[in-house]
Amino acid sequence: MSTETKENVGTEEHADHHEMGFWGKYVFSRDHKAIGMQFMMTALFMLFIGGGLALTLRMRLAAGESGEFMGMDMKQFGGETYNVLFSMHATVMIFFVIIPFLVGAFGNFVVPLHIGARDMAFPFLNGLSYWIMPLAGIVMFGGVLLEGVDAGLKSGAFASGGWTSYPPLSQIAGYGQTLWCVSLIIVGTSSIMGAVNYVTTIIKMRAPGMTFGRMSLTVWSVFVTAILVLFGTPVLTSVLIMLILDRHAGTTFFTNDGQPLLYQHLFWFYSHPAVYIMILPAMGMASDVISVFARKPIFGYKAMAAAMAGIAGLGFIVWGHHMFQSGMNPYLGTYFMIATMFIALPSAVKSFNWLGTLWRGNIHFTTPMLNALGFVSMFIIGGLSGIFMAATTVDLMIHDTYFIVAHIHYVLFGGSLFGVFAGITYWFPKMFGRMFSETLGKIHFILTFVAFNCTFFPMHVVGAAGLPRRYAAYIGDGASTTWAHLQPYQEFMTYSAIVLGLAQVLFLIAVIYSAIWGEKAGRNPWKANTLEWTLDSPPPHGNFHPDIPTVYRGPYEYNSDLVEEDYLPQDRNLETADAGSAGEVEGSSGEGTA
Amino acid sequence: MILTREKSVAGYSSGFRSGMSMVVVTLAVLVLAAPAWSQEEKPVAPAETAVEVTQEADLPLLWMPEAISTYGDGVDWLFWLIFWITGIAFVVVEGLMLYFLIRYRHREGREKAHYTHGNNRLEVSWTLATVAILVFIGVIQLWGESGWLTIKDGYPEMGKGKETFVVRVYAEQFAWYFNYPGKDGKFGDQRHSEIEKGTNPVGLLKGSPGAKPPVVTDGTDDKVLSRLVVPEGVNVLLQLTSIGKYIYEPRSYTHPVLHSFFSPHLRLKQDLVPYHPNQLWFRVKPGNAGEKFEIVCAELCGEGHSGMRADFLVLDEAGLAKELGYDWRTAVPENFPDVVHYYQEEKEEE
Repeated sequence: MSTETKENVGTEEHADHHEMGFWGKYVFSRDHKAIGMQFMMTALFMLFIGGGLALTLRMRLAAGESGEFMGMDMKQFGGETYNVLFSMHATVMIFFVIIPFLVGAFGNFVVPLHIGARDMAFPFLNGLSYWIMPLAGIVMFGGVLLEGVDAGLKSGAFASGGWTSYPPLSQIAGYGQTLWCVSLIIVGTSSIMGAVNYVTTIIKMRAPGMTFGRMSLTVWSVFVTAILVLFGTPVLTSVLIMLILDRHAGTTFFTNDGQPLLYQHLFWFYSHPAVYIMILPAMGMASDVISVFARKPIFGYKAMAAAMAGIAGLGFIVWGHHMFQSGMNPYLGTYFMIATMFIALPSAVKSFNWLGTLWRGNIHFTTPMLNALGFVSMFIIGGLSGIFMAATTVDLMIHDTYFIVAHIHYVLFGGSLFGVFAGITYWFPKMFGRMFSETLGKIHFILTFVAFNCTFFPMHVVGAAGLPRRYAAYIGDGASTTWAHLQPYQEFMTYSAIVLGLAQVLFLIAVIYSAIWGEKAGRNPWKANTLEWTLDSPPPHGNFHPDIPTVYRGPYEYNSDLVEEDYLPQDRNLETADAGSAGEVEGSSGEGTA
Repeated sequence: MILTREKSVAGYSSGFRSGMSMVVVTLAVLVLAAPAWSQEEKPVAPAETAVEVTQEADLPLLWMPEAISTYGDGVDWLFWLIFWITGIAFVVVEGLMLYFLIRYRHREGREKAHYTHGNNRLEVSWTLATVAILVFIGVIQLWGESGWLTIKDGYPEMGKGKETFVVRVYAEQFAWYFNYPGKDGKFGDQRHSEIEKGTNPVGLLKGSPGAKPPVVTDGTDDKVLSRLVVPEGVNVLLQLTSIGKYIYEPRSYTHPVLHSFFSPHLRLKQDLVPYHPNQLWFRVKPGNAGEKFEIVCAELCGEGHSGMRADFLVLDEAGLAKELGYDWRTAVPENFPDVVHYYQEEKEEE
C-alpha cells in the first residue's frame, strides 16, 4: 500500500513524452536535469564576474603607493569604487554563484535521480525558480545597464555597503542599494521556490524502498538545506523590505528611534544559517564522492546525517557571534560564544567521519576525488580558524580583520567551491554523457589548490596582525601606518590570486572540451551504487522508464561481502525477483514515511 | 607524473602522492619565505607631533603587534592557546588524512577495502572529546584579568574619581575626535545641530547655563583633539558615539553611521553605534610613555573608510599636561560622567 503512494503520481502526466521544441527542451524546460544544468552554467558564468571583481580589488591592494600594478593604473579603484568592488564580489559569489551551484544546480540535478523520482514535485515552480534568477541579476546591475559603469559609479548605481549592508550606511547609500535589496528579495524568492520543491520531493516522491535511512548524504544535505532556506529566507526578505521602507518610506526601523543593531540581528538570523546553506550540500556531495572512490561505505552514516540536522538546528541560535563587537550586551555575547562552540561539534564529527571513510579504503585519485579531498582538507582549516573568532576575547583582535576574510574563503572557496568542482566532475558523465578530462581536471586541481592556499593562507597572518578588511589602501597618503610593512604580503596574495583566476579559466576550457570531445561515458563509469548510474548518460526525460526502481539497500555498499564486485547498486535485488523482497520493501518504506 | 594515466577500475590515475608532496613543499617554502619577504620594506612613519614622541611602536613582522594594555598579553595568551589546540588538531587530522591517502591508495592487486559502517564507541568518544575541548576554550574566555567580561563589562569596577582618565570619543565620516573634559572636569553637552567644521567639530554646547538652547554643562573649556592621548598605568574610560551633521552651505555633510574603534596594540575593538553610546576601558602598561600608536576604524563607514585613522599617544604626566593644557588629575569628574543619550535630548528640545 505504502509503496503505491510513493509512486510519482503528480508527475506521471509530465513524465509522458510529449514532443518538445528546442525552447521547451533546452530553455524553458521543466525537466529538473535541464534546470539544474541551467543553474550550473549561470553560476559558472557568474563565477567569472565575481572572480573578475575579486582580481580587480586584489590588484588595487597590491598597487600600493605608486598606484600602478603590472602597468595598470589602479588609482581609479580606490574609495567608493573599492567599496563597490568588494560588495559586488561578495554578493555575486554568495547569491549568484555558491547558492545556485549547490542548491540550484546539484539539488536539482541529483535529488530526483538519487531518490528515484521522475522529476521534482512542482516542475513549473522549479523552472520559475531558475527564470527569476536572471531577473534578479538584471535588477542588481540595472543601474549599470542604464547608465554604464562610469556614470553608474558616480550616481550610486551599485551597492557599496558590503554584502552585509549594515544601516545606517546602507540607508544613505545611492539607489543601487535599493536595487540590491530588491534583487536579493527576488533571489530569496527563488530559493524558497526551490526549497519548497526539495522538501516536498524528498518527503513524498522517494522510490519504493527508499527510506530516509537509505537516502544518499547529498539528498540529506539538500533536504536539511531546504529546511534552512524555508526558515531563514523569509527573515532576510523581511529585513530587506524594512531597509527599503527606511530608505524610501520614512520609517525608522534602523535609525533614530530605531536600532541599527536590529538590522544586524535580523540579517544574521538569516545569514548565519545561510553560511550552512552554502556548505551543507558540498558536504553531502563530498561524502558521496569520497565513499565512491574510497570504495568503502561512509563511516558513521547516521552520525553524518545527524550532524547535518544538528548544524541546521544550532545554526539558528548562534547568529550573535557575528556581533561580538557591535555593541550588543557582552553577556549575550557569552551565550553566543558557548552556542557557537557547540556548532563546531557537528563539523568536527563530519571531518572525523570522512577520515574514517578513507581509513582502510581502496582510494582512487580521480579528479572528483581530488576535489573532494581538497574540500575536506580546506574545510578543516576553515573550521579550525572559526574557533578563533568564536572565542569572544580573541575576537577583540581579529574581528573585522583579514583573519575573517581568510576564514570565509577557506570555508566558501576551499570548502564549497572545491565541493562544487567535485560535484561537477563527478556528475559530468551523467550530465553530458562524456567523461570530464582527467588530465585537465588534475592540472586544474593542483593549480587551484596551490594558488588558493598561497592567496588565502597569508591572510591569517596579516589578519592576526590586525589588518582591517574592507580597506582600499594600507599604504600611502592618509592611510594607516600600522600595517604598511605588510605590503609585500599584499603583492604575494595578488599574484597568487591571478594564478587562481587563470586556473578557473582552465576549468572552463576543460568543461567545454570534455562536453564536446570527452571520452564517451557509459551508464556507470565510476561503478557507483546510487540510482542515477543505472540510467543512460544523460538520462532521458522522466528519468526512470518504464518503472520506478525498487530500492533494497543504502547507497554506500562498497566492498560488501554479498557480491563479487566491489559495488552493489541500490536497486539490485539479490534474491529472486519476487521472494521476500516485497515484504522488505513494504516494511522499510512504511518506516520511511512514518 | 601527475598526468600519467593508469587504467584501473574506472580509468583513474594515481599521481596524487607526488602532487600532494609538491603542494606541501610549496606551502612550507611559502611559510618559511614569508618573514624574509616582509622584511624588504620598512615602515616610514610621518613624525608630526606637538609633543616629543621619542619612539615609534615596534612593528613585528608577523602575527600580532606588541600588546600595550594590561589585558593585551592575556588576549594573546588565549590566541596562542587556541592556536596550539587547533594546530595540533590540524596536524593530527590532516596528517592522518595524508597517511590514509598514501597507505590505502589503490594499487594493482590490492585487497578489497575494509567493509565497515562505523564504530559507535569510537564516534561517541571523539564527539565527547571534541565537546570537552570546545567548552574549555569557550569558558576560559570569560573571566580573569583578560576575560571577555572583564574587558567589555569591567569599567564599573575600575575605581572612580582620581583613578580614571575619561575621554569621549566621537567618530564621524571619516575622522576621530577625542573630547577631554577640560579644567572644570566636566564634559560639555553635545548636539549634532551644533557641529561646525573646524570650530566645533563634535558639536559641544558652549555658553552659560540658561542660554538657548539650554546648556546644562558648558563645553567652552573642553579640549577636543584629533588624536587620543592617555597616561600610562591609569585606567582610561572611553565613552564612544558616532556623530554627523548636514551642513548645507557650503554643502557638506556627514552621517552618523557605524564605526569601530580599533587599536591593535590595545587588543581592543568596539563598534560605535549612532544614538547608542557605549563605554570601554583599558589601562596602558607602564613603560610605554612616549610611544605612538594608531586608532583605526574597523567597520565599513563609507568611501573614506580606509583613511579614517588617528594617532594614539601614550604620554607621561608632563607630556599629557602640555598636550591638554591642564593637569588632568586636578580636573577629574567627581562622579563618573554618565553616557548621554544624545538623540533623546535633541528630541526634548523640539
